[in-house]
Amino acid sequence: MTNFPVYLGQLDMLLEPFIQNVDDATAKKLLRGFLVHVDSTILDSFSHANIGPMPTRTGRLLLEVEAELMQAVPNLTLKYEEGVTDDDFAIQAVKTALRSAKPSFANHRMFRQELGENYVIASCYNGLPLGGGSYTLCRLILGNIAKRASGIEDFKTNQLPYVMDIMARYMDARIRFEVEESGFFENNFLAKEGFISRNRFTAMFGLVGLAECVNILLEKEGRPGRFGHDEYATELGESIIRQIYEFNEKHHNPYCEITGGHFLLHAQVGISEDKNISPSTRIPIGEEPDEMIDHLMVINHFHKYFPSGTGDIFPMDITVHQNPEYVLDIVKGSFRKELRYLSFYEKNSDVIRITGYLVKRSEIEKLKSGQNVLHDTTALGMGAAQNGKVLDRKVR
Amino acid sequence: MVVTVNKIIPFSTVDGPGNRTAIFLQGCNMNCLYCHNPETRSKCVHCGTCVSSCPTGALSFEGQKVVYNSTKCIHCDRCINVCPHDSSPKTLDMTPEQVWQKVENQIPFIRGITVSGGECTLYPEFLTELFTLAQAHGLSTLIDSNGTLDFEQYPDLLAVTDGVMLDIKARNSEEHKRVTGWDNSLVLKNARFLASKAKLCEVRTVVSPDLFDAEQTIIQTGDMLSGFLSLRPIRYKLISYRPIGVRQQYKDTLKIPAREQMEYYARLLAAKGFKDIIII
Repeated sequence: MTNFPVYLGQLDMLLEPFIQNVDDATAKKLLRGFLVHVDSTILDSFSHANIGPMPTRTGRLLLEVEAELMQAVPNLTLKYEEGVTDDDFAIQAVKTALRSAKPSFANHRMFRQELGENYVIASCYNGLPLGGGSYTLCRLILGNIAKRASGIEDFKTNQLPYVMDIMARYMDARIRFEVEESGFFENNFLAKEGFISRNRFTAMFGLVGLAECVNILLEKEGRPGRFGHDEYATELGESIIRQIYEFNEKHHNPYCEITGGHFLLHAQVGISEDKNISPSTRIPIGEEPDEMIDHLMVINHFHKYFPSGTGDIFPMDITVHQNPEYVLDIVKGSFRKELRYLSFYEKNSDVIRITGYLVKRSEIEKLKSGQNVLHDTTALGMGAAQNGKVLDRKVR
Repeated sequence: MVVTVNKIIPFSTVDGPGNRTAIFLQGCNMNCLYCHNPETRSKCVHCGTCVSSCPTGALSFEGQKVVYNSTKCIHCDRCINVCPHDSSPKTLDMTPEQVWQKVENQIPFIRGITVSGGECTLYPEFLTELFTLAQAHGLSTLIDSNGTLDFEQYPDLLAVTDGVMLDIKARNSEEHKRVTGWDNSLVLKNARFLASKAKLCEVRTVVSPDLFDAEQTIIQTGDMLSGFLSLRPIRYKLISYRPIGVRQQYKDTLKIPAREQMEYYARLLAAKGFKDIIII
């Protein structure tokens, strides 16, 4: 509906037949041509391809080619499950991620338990049913709702329920229009040709700015502590997310059958104009805990609530090139601890992950100096670099 | 049993394979000219030089002792830089159980622990106790050592040690004395002994041109160990000297090797059958 192909397909399975009868060098040449074509013709890095969890020859070669190309498009996710995805394949994924900020790692075990085996990762990091999609994405700006509240009690009993109710009814109205009046599902070629089905669609109930919300509420209560650094702040944050989750479990929409008649929670990554609104449930840039372990043990309270997407991003020190197993150990531990989705890039990488999409730093520089660039997401990245401080993330 | 701990790094990228918690013990018996963390060499004598230099008041005197308040510390390292005794006011005396509690937080994100220093083998009983705890919880255990403990005499420690990362700072004894102040016969004995028991997982040589004959050290060490590679692969880490952290009096006299030189050494080792060679 956005006119951008936010999901490109399960590329390893899709392309395997085309390289079956050629040697590695020829296969890489073919894959390189394909990927260059994607980067030059899809002008938006929200277009997302998937690989894994099983290791395949195509998947491995694709990762090798991406490590050389270092392109911003397409976005790429490795569905990872310990014991299913072998270490060699995962290590190649880490090596590629350090050079090209992709693939990200999705917790396949969690996603398949929630959405079934036929799920995909699309757009930023959105888990959605294959052949379906999201009717709409709206978002609660939690920090702004907290500003209206006199304290925690007022926030939870009055302000948050008031806005959630409006948003849910607004989403219901949009969905009703799309399904009953727009004619999209009867006429769009994606539906006509069988790529999508109305009954596999659901909707994403989004939110941003949990960190600011918690900090504002703590301040109003006269309590010390900040989100990301304080056990009480984490507990308060989780209780807010749980309240939103429970609201959604009670709300029913007749056209979201595929997800039990409910919307899916989505930790939205923000928009480039956002100021002082941290993406999703992330710890604000510049306030990350000194130690990565403490960072992970805060965010692991939140990932489980967001089947339609959440994620955290870590720039890594250059020493990690010599020890990619370091990153894999962190992924393994995180996924055992119910973290859902993690992204990494080496701190000097030209391609970086802005919030949920990829941009080349060199392209941002070109755009800044008034030159043309190919991808529209470069403009978003430039805004986010200025407003969201994404170039200042703590290096791990 | 208590040892002095300089610091614990919860997630370390550079102290062995994968993600490991690295524990740095205080105190070293060698005096390597290029030591990049000289603040780990000696125990604090509570002279108080650092107290007045601390910009945030994280250091103070309690009676005759310097005490450190970690909540006020901004990690500017000024205390370490002014210390006249190659020490740090931020060390902690800890038992193996107390160190283990700090390690446990990182499960399941780490695959193992590495104890370094200073020279951690000055405290073999501590290592044995800590490693026993770590292995019981499925973590691998590595020692980072200068090779001055006669490992053959410590079978209990070796039984709970998965691998030793050993410095071979120079092959020639006179050169080794010049670099470290120590003769190296025990270091070389340890290299052979550990390799024969499949406990040697890594050898490191820091290269600084004109300090010692790096080429001969690398050739002879390669020859000494190549026969053991079939028992267990041994990583050879070739470390380019860097002035970061090095004491002022040595900093300017030591040279940084060229990248091509390091790559030449790596080729020498590759020709002797070493498969895992890292230049840093």
